[in-house]
Amino acid sequence: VAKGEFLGEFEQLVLLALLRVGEGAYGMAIRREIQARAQREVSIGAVYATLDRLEEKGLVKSRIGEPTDPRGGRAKKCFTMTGAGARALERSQQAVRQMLEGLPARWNPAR
Amino acid sequence: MNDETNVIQPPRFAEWLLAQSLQGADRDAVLGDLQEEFTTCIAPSRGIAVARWWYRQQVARSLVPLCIRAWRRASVARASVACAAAGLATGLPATLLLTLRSFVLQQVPLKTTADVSAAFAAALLAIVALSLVTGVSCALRLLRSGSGSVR
Repeated sequence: VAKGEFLGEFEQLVLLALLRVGEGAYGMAIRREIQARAQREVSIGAVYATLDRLEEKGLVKSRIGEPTDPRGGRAKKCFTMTGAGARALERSQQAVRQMLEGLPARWNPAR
Repeated sequence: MNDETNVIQPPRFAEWLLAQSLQGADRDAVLGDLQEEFTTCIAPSRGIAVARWWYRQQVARSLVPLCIRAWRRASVARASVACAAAGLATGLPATLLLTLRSFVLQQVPLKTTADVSAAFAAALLAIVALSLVTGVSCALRLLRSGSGSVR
């Protein structure tokens, strides 16, 4: 598998948050999910920069929603994971699982 | 627009600064997300002062990843021009003012150096700050003009 086909740590977090949020996932919802579950304070810019990179790789796709009043009349951008995105995430998670295999329980809570 | 609506507006300068690094649908998406979180979540639960601080912090922390992304998407040539524009817009006025300051200090022997220095230091700081904002703004516009979409 080529180097570029693996995902970085933050890319994996963004894709997993995208899965958790589900239908209508957008930047701020993804940021909130990462903050709540990974206890990691991230900026909205970092989330959008990552989503943009993932979209460029064909791992997510976006659609523009309707403008709303609380957003100052600005449209929302919603994201969904593509098949290639799901495969890339699975590959990266598999790589981590294989690296953990055989290690003491401290490193491998699944044991 | 009533007073209450005015009070819960996000900080204008931070909003403007962030808008400079974005365009089109991405600008709407990022600024809209921030405004929605600001007005519907942070301000009602934690107060306007905290919400404004949160907004400014988000903008400050967002600029770096967004600019890096813009840089990567822009061609090397355009990115170099943007860097040079920012440097020139900041450095040139500062150099001119420093030269002017040295010249005036030589011509006014009766004034104490401290008095003149304080006045010039204040003017210098103001002009450098203004130049910096202009330079960075120009650089961001240059970057995003060549990148199609800077997200």
